[in-house]
Amino acid sequence: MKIINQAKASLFYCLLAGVPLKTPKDWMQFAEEQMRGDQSKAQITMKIHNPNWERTLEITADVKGKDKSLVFIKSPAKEKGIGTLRLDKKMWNYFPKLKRKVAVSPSMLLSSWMGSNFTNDDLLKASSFVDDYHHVFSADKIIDGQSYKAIVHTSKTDSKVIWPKVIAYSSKKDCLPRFYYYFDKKDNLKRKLAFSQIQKFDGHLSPKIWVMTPQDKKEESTTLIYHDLKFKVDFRPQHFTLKTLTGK
Amino acid sequence: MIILFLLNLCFAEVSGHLEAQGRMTQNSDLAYDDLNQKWHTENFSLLAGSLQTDHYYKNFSFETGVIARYTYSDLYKAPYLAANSINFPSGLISRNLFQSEYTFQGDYAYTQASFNQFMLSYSGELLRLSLGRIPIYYGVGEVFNPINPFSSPLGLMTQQAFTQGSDGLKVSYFITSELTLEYFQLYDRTQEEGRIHETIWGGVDYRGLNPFEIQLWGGRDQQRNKIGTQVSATFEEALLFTQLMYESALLNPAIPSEHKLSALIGIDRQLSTSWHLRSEFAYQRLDEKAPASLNTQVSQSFIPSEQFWAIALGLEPESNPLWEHHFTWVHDVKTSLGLALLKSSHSLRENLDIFAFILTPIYRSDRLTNDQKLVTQDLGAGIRYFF
Repeated sequence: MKIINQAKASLFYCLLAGVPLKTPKDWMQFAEEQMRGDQSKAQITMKIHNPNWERTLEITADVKGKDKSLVFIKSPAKEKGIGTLRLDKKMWNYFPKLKRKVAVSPSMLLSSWMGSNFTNDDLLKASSFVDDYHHVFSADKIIDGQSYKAIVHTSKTDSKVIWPKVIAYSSKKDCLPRFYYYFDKKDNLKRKLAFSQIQKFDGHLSPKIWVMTPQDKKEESTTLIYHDLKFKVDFRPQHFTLKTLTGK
Repeated sequence: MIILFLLNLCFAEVSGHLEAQGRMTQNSDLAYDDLNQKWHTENFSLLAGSLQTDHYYKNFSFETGVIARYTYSDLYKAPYLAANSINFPSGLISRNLFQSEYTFQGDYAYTQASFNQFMLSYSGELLRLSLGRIPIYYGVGEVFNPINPFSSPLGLMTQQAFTQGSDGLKVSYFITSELTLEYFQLYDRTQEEGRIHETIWGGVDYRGLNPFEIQLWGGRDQQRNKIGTQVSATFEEALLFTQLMYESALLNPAIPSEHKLSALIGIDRQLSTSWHLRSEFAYQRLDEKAPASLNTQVSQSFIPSEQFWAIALGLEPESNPLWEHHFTWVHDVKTSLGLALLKSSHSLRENLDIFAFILTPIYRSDRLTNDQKLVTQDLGAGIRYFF
């Protein structure tokens, strides 16, 4: 049965991409190429929902490869202009009202980003499924009446990722993930990330809406709405530097 | 300056904050008995606000910032020494050439207002040049930051934090993504009856040697030659940092003085998604002969003697990240004075915070310096609005 599944997988063509996706790694590589690209520039609204409070932030996120990212908050007023620069393992925050640049410990990557259900690691895109995880197919899963391709990612021993196991459930039409299930070391499901409204952004297929729900507090969630996502970006050589972080 | 500021208000992006704070202050028995500070409990009221504007045109920018604060208390009437230290930092300007800080001491109130930022900048591909009143903040120290003589550390502030301005010129040259050179030429005429003192200050920030970031700073400032370094190392689990600063004796040999030395070692670590830890250990060799300009680095009247350590714990509960709690404990090794500061804030609405704090000295010995005897016990609460 396992052999038949693998054979089926090897024949799978992604209809929209028009390329054969033989291995689970091919699937994730395709998803990362589409959703992450080599570089991107995004304008995002973040809505943090809690039973007792709600919060909305407008942010811009520039990403280049796996080791460079620059995020700025545009609103609300209290946090406006606060920036985070990540260059490989080094991170700095900049507080424009104080004109202050602060080096940040990489251990902050696992902490919540501005009180949301996303971590700094999620926002700064410090880890990559393709590079940091091993991948195997699992049995297809029916969610809300629809069948999804399941790929189990387990972290490589030398990778410094927060989640030891992540299962991706991908659409068989466009081969892009619709759900990520994140598990802790004890194999408990800790959070779910759901993608919807897949659309073309600058030639890439990518979800417009991302919803993160912690499983121990299901009444909470954080929604990212991508208003603009550009992949054909020509960042200046000096873009991902402290000069950009500390001023225009 | 005011006309330019008003013009900038019309055309630039504007942001700022308003703050109202009430504080109950209790005097220490040692200050009452030994230093003739004959009061027990008093109240302080603070109204403060800031307004920043920035206007960008091509490679040029014009940025302004105003800070104003009004403090009301019966302690100003006497006046008692505690009234001098209730606002930290006490000065809005660090190196003041234009003497544009407005202050007014009434019978029961103290008013202070100034531009802390008023600068025109040019930003090229690798170069940034700023002229005017420039806020200067660098250095990783939160409670003690000897590498930076131009702004007070923020760790123990109980008001909305701000950076003091300095008058002069700043040049930043971003040679590569790993190497930055900085040069300051600053002027001050608040000492020695209006005589202008020049500060010439330069620094190198090198980030090319993983996992280290190395900064070297030095120059002539406040009539001393100074040289210092900061080395920080970024590891997966924590940020480690150290600072060392040497200051010569006063350059004027007619004034008796000694050299000074400051050192800092610390660690910054996110313990879990909610808990954050910072620890700093500091040593300083003071100038006993010319102590006048010493010890502006640490909050309130808490003036450390030679060695002290500080531990700060931050808590942002996962269940409600709109709450933030910070606890800082500072301990003077020589005199055994401890200072505990607990700050909590809650974001009521998008741009509206309420906050409360407790600041209390804890001591067991009579080895305290006179400045340390003046440390009061404070309970405060207030509200801040950001726009």
